[in-house]
Amino acid sequence: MMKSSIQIPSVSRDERIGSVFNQLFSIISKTELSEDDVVEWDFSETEFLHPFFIAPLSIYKQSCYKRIECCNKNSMVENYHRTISFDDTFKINDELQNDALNYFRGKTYTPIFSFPTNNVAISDKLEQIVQSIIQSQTEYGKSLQAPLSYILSEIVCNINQHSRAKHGYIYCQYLKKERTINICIADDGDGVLSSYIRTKLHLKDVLNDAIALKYANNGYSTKGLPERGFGLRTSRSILVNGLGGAYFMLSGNAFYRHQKDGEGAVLLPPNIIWDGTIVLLRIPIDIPKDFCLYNYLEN
Amino acid sequence: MSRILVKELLGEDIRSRANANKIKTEITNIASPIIIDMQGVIFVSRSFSDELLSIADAISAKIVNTDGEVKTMIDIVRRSRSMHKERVAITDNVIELNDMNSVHDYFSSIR
Repeated sequence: MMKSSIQIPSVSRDERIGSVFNQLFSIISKTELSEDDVVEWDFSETEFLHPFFIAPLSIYKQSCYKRIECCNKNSMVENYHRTISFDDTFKINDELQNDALNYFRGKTYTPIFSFPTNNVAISDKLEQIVQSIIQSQTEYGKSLQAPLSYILSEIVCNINQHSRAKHGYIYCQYLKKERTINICIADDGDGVLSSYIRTKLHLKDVLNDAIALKYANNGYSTKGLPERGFGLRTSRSILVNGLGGAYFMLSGNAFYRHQKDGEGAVLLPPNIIWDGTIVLLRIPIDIPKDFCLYNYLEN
Repeated sequence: MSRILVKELLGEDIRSRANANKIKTEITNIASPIIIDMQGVIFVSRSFSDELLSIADAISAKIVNTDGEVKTMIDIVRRSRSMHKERVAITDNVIELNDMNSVHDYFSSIR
């Protein structure tokens, strides 16, 4: 059996949200272009992988049609990957108890959770547990509780409502030096553009993945009802304008970024396609004194 | 008058929009005036609030005992539903990257 080998770099930083995808796209591209049946990911140069890199890498590995073998991990990387369920993700079912994940309360990260999208009781419970773990890890102030609940629930709700995914994914890591909670939420569904194509809404204007992301992130719901379409827009507003955080969404052949210095959509080269959708959230735990969640919820 | 105790049905922290389907199931075949009692519920997502209001409006049910953040959220969503929605006009261009070099250059250049 033929094997090709791809070096996984150390990716320790993501100062401009989503910039880790610079390296991730390169790995995906090499994996896809390989003519071999088995692709080896070589971790010999890997020390630390930023949460926005490691979670998408794991999710890609789950869904890749090629067989991917990981090799040359040092003991620290091996141990960490096992703890966070990098190879297979941590699968959630309805038997999950609140105390099942107490081990992680003393850490700065969670496992890479995978949940079925056809059971809202499971995804709701997972959100609550994840938030509880984050609270233990960071001891964030009471004023972050409601905005974090809002943002998590709206983004996960979108997976259940729009994605037609089989699985959703959540991974969180607290970076102490930066004092930021870094959350990756993803699904293996059809992608945002497919949602517009399926519902035949706004198709005159939504011509590609980038425009689909602009529409989705600015309130043009595929449900076609005037009271819909608030979730992503208000979540972004809370996160970036209210809390001073950053937002990134990748779907299909495009991504959408929003940081305090601006926002916009980018169409990627045709050979780079992400099946499904990934959202990255960078949430500062020190929030402005005058922050009020409800200032960001109306029209 | 029939009273739906939401905390008993859905818990005190209610997130997914689809949770409202359980309320819909409860009120099926109830003819009398219905009260949706939110006593003890401490968090509702915007999505759930929107779906709850759709159900309540459809059957002219009253939503009572909302408190604190739950009251604020439901009031905001109710107001939003009755106002003309201001959508952001999509006018600015999309950046197009043609190859991996341009992807690399893009991420190197953004602030």
